[in-house]
Amino acid sequence: MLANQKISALQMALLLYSTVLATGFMVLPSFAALHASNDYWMTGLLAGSTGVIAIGLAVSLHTHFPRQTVIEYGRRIVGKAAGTVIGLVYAMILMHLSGVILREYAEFVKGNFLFNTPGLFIMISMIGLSACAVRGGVEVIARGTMLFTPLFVIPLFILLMLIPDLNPGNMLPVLNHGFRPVLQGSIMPGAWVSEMFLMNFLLPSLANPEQGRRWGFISLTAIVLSMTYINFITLFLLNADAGDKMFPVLVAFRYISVGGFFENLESLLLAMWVIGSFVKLTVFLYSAVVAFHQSAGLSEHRYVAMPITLVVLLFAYWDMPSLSRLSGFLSKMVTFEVLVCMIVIPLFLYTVAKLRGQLKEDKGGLDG
Amino acid sequence: MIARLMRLSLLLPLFALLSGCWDRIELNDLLLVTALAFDQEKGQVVTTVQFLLPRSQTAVGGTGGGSPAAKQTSVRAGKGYNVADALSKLQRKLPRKLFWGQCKVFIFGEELAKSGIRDELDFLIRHPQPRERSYMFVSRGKAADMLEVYPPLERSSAEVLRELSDMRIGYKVTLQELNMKLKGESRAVALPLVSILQPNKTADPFQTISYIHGTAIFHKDRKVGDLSEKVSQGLLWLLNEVNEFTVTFPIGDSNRLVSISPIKAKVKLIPYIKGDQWTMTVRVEAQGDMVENDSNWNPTSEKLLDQMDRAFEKEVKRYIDLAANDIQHRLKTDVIGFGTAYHRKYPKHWKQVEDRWDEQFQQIKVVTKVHARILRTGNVSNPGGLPEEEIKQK
Repeated sequence: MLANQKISALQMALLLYSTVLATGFMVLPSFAALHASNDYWMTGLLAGSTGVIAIGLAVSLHTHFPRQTVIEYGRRIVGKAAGTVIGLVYAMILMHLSGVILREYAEFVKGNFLFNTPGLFIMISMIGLSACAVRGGVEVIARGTMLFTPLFVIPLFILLMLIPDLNPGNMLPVLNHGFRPVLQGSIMPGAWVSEMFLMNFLLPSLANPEQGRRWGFISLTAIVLSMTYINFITLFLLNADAGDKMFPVLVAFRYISVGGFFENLESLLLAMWVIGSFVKLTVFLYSAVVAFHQSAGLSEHRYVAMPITLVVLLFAYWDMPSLSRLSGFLSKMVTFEVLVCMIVIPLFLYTVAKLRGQLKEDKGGLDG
Repeated sequence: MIARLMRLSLLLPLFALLSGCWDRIELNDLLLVTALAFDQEKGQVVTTVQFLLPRSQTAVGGTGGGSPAAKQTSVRAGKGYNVADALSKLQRKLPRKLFWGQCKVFIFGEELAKSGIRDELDFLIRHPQPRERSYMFVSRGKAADMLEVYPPLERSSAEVLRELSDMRIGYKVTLQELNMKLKGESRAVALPLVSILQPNKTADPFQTISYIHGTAIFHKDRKVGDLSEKVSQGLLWLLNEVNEFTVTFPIGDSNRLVSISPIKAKVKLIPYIKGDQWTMTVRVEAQGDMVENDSNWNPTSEKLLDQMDRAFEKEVKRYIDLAANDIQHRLKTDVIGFGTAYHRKYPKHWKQVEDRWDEQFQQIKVVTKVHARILRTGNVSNPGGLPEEEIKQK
């Protein structure tokens, strides 16, 4: 099943790029600016550090337990019972996060573009597609992403048309309130970047696993650069007011006006959002499906894809009553959940494995 | 094969979604709003929309000699407790749905501006449809009147205002800028003031435009005063918005005039604190081409050109000092961004004066340093239409 399908390390890098940034672009500048005020451009750089840890953990655990996901080697490290519990925790959290992503996607579309369309319909049309891709397997997802990534990245450069409206002076005064707010503002972006750990579900399918580490870091670099780029654009355009906008990037796209006719470009952002959310949702859904079917010890992941999709839809539909609840939820619960799932548990597994001497010859990873 | 076609045909219903799911809307169900005006009336808000009349309905105008162009816009107003309420009441009087995508002009009435624009601003910035790049204006008198004129050239008076702002001779503030300035360091903003141009003698009474004339000064969200047309020009210098200006100034003892156009200028605000004395240096680099010389001076003479440069500098300085003085001591409202400049350079000092910035602002000493140059003298060297002997060569 899993081993039958092969993707390349480059495809993995593209998957991870969209996974972190799809929703990251949209919500992170706002949350970071809320804490760090006009210093929030630094948060993207700081957030990169959790990415380094996440990639380090995923890669080094994978080198010692080749062709296994966190669920499988979790069992080998902490024993069958505890391992299964960890696996189910992963499955649960990933399903929940998929639900949150789906809801975020629908909220943006409904709140800004399709005012009259039922949110449930927007969600179903997206998760339906994701579920099909997940059933098709990792190869389908990866090939789709190869096609989509350019469409996701190119609109970003259109923001450069804002240059006449940008005011770099907004950076000043630098660190007026000290470094603490910047650290606080980096927590959420940090959680987003730590989603790089999801690569552990992809590493077993790599045709060239020895390249995984390298492409992981290339992807991380691209993510940090893109995040910082978006932060700078929104900062120079909106100053600390970015913290007040639900979607600062949306305002930036709406603000573009070249020659009086190149305007109303937010539809481009919508296209980008649909594509990015699709990749992100699919990667999360795929991870949830794999996590569940491996901890339940099933032979074929396809059979659980549809039921899990349904659960995700329920999470998306029933979990959050409103957008403001959703954003409160994102900054508190989700950050916690993501960090537990992407950093704390892997770090715990890594430490236990190290103490039990399962990592005899350390050929890279955290310190290599 | 048949089975495959059957399966493909299952995809056909997807086409139904292409038109936007439930948000499908026909063009002839939309009302294209070009501008929105807010007025106050007995404690309630009156919102007036100006909208485009579809071409097919305007083209039927008569062909009789001298008949005015058919109106291409119309207005309708609604009254309510706040903007949203007023708009919902307005919608009841309109057979088509308001569409905001092309609405780029918002005008606040004078009375409303005096009592505060915060409520209206919140609506504009919160509602997903009004665009952050729309231009904001304040009217002399009722804002609705600005929309009920029918310009001879452009399609709508809103379009005229937008074009005038875009020419960069005037001053423009977008919705987003307005919001940021009211939240910013000095909580003050200057908005262009519009009034109705006196129509030509032969034109119909409403065949005219609304145009930008002067500046309205807001402190917090209330209008506290106006700047005259002349002082507004000085304000543009202070805000570094000078572009395609014409500056006319007298030279020598005869006080004959010389005009420079277009002016390119760079203005820098350099804050400085020494002890208790806050000083703001306004450093100006200006240059432009001579387009008119009414004096008998020959501008190709280096010595005379130098004197002309000095006179040019003096004029620019006069503009700036006039505006700075008026804003600092009459209106006592920092619309020039001195607060921002100090905050950026002296964040610690700023914290001490933040709460009483309006007082501190009045005590800032403004030093204007202008460096101006006339770059080219146009197509002739000697003053036009003057015999050689009357020309002053050095």
